[in-house]
Amino acid sequence: MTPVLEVRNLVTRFHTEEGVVHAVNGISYSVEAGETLAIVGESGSGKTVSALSIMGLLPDPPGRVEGGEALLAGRDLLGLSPAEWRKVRGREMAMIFQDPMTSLNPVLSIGYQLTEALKWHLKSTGSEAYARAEEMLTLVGIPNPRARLSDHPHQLSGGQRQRVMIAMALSCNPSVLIADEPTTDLDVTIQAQILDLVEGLQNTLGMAMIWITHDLALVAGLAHRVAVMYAGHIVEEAPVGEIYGRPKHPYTQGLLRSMPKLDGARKERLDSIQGQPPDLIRPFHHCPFAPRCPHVEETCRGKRPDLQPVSAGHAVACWRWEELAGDSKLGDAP
Amino acid sequence: MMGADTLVQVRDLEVHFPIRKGLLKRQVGAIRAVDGVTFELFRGETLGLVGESGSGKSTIGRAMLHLERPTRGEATFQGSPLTTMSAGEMRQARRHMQMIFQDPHASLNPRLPVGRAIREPLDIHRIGDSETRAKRVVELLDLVGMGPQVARRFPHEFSGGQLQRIGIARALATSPEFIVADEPISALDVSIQAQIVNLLGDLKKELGLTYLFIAHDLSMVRHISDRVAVMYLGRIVELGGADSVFGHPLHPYTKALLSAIPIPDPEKEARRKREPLQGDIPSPANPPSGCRFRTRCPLATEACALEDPQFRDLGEKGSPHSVACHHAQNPE
Repeated sequence: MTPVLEVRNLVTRFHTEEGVVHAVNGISYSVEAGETLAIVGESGSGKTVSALSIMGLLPDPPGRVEGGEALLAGRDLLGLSPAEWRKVRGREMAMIFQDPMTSLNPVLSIGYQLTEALKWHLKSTGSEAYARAEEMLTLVGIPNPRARLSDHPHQLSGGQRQRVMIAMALSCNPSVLIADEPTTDLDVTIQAQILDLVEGLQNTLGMAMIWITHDLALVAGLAHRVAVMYAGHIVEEAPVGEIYGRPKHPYTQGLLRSMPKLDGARKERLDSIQGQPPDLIRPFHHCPFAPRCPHVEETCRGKRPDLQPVSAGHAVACWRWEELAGDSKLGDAP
Repeated sequence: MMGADTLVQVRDLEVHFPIRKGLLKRQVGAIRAVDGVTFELFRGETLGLVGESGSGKSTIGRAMLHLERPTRGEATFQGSPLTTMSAGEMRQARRHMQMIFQDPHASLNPRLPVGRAIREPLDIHRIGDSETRAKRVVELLDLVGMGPQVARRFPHEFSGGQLQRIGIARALATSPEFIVADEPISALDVSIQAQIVNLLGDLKKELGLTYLFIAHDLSMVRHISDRVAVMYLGRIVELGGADSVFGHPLHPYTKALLSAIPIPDPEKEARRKREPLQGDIPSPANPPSGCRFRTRCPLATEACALEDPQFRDLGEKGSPHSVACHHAQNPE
């Protein structure tokens, strides 16, 4: 299958008073229709910035996309004018955010906000748009949708607001949905509801999905493929089973090991990753994980590894992965 | 009854926040954040307190340190009730009970070098002279794995994980016995969370601390806690040993909560059957009659609406495991 969205060598930097922040340093990924790609990383890993870059939502200045392309059905988005962007955003690509309260306008009704995109993109008439809005609210499981259309955001609970955001994002039937930690602020029981909802919607609507999160556990039941980001680089990419079963990058392995389990014996101590997240003011000429890596050696401090193929669909940016995989103790799943 | 090794006892604790309306700000109702909670903390244990937002878990923690005044009931620390203490006695008692907050950026003064921030509790409680206080700061920094040179630096120069270490050092300054840790890791990056949890575990062993560990991350709570209390809408619905509560949950809410947690294993995740909970948590201003969970409970019957379920012990002898549910049955 051909990918719906293909990102190639994306470079995004922030020009700040303290210096240039190298937020995204040449990352590439693609996603197909009906597929979910999870981008996993900690704060500052560049996962959100890369999404904002390909949505044309990067605050400029200080942010600037300085290289690469984002091909949506073959067309590069990164050179679009603001007017052209407006035709793409919300129509062909849509995004949902962590905090629905900051994305919804508090003084406008849910109905107004839901129909705005329909009127603008699809040139729907008022009554058509309202009918579609009601249909969307039903689809995302909001009880009594007609009455809700005249409500304002503050009248809804956090979970319902996130449902409204999803309804809004999907109302024009986009081919790509980017979800930036949409469940992070929600309680686990509400998170489970939203995950079920989104999975169901993807099955019916068939959009490609990019799910950005810091939570590796969440991704296991949701994504088809996982890209792990560290310091603006993708350090490992693999089908979901491979990431959990045969992680190759010491960072991925470290993340998986540091998570306590809900079942099985309890450990005395957690295996933590030592050190602090990197400072992005300086570009990395060495492996960005080297200062924290338990398996670091001279090569790692001298040159930055590129992604190398491990098996079909599995790539890792580590100089020592083959050597470490040979040592069953280190290469095995945690 | 108060056991010999009970450090903190909470009895019928109630914290209601008034809702005021109109010109005269008359009270029209109350947010029943904590609504009748009884439990105890044994010396040297970690009690995990879990529940969704709005369940009242943070309010309990604050009320136990008397940062929130209970509207009814009481908390006693080493046998002395906090509720009836004078301001002076309260200040004395606070030396022994400290809090670690969720967001270290918000809980440290940005204009104070971190050394001064760590020293502040010693100044307030007039512990030692200037020289011993300075020594103690170095000692505390060492305890949380930081060098003495950081004392002169300011909060903005640190990452979240380092700041949380400083927040912990500050909480330990007065050598407290009891620590309320309110979501101490949820603002931190995943790779840093394990570091802080390990640090808390080491400190507990080294200093013989007792923790109330408030969190919504259940797998972390399972890791760190000896016993776990599950809260829902201002009440504790289940309380027992960590392995017992996680291994054989008795309350349908605990079961739903556990089944909602994603498991970091795609195969297990595909096989597992979810028991998704419908709807949202009701408003604590107007909780449902009878059992508070009944509006979302798969087992709810008429009796649940009529009668408030009593907290009863269904655990085996020697390992109490209590639950407030009409339908809960012994695991065996």
